[in-house]
Amino acid sequence: MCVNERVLQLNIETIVNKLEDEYVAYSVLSNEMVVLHPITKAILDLLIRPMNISQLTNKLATEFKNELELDVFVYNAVQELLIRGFVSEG
Amino acid sequence: MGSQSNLFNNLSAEKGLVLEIAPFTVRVQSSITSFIKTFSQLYSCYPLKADDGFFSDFHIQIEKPLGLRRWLKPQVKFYFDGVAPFTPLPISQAFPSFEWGLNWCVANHSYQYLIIHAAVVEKNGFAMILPGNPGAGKSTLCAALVTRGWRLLSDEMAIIDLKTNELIPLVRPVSLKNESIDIIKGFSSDAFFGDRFLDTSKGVVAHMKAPMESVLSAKLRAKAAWVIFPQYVSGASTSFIEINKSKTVIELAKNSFNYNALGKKGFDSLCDVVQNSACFELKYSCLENVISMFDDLADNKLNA
Repeated sequence: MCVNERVLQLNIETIVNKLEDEYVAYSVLSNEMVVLHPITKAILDLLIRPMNISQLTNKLATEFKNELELDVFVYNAVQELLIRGFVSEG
Repeated sequence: MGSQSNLFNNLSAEKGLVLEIAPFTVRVQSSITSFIKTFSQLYSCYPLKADDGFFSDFHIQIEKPLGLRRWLKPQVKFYFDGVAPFTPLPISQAFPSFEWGLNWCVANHSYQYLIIHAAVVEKNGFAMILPGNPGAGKSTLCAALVTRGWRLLSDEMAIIDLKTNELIPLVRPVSLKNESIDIIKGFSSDAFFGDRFLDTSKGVVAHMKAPMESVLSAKLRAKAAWVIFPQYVSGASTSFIEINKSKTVIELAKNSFNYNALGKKGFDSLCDVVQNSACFELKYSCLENVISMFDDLADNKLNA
């Protein structure tokens, strides 16, 4: 299966809290904690519903249309979110 | 309250004595004279519990191990519930072994609280959390503050109630190392110190007795108002820089003993404490400057 077709979904044990104007995510599964970049926060918000990277990038493209190489950013962010236990392959 | 002679007699009895070191109850037993002497000096104003089978959170014995070593280069062992979790230390380090062992007991057996490696002091009802790696100067700063009217909650652990996110005092002697001992002795002639312990794994260690007022108000909780990461830098002018809250949460998590075992509750408590606190990094070398600055913070907060 093509990497971009992998279906991803937010782990139920991923918690995101707002602190002033930033967001911090915590994964109960992996005990990882991370300050979220606005695009990464948007990725987690979207992944409440399962979708693949292409669908994700398309949805983000409207909000972050001025972001250069958005697809590369999303791909790398998703890899990190997978490795650190914030999202899973559905 | 336990008078020194009472403590002395009860500690060496078979069952030891039961002391309230709020929020915990600790049963301590030892027949080692040097330990009993220092313990009696530094814990004389803590409430004693009647020994009527009252529940104790931690059963601790400080004793010499059996065998030839009892007479030849004698050592001391820390026993928790009858088990010795650590290698023995020279008998001269009996009191530090109790203090370090009790830290371990609290950090490893108190999952009803979120625990962060930090000193905590309070003034005007507002608590200041001072996290820091060993050597950062948090205990020195904490000791200096409590000699100038700040209430001691702990020099070692910020204990946070998971329901209310309040800070719970764990008032114990302030452990100072190396140069810090003379700095604080020079800073306050009123501070009472136990013996100096040489050649420990942390260098020279001495314990400053907790102020009586702090022991008496050991059940009075406080809400966090500041999280400040102190760093002592010899000769540096005072630098006090606000840091963002998300970074503070990550740093506090690194300093936490148990947030990872508490899951969502721990993370939410951590975030709540930080959300309601002003967060700073402090570099300092002059205690007078810092205390004056912190007094202003506490006064401004009260008048806000």
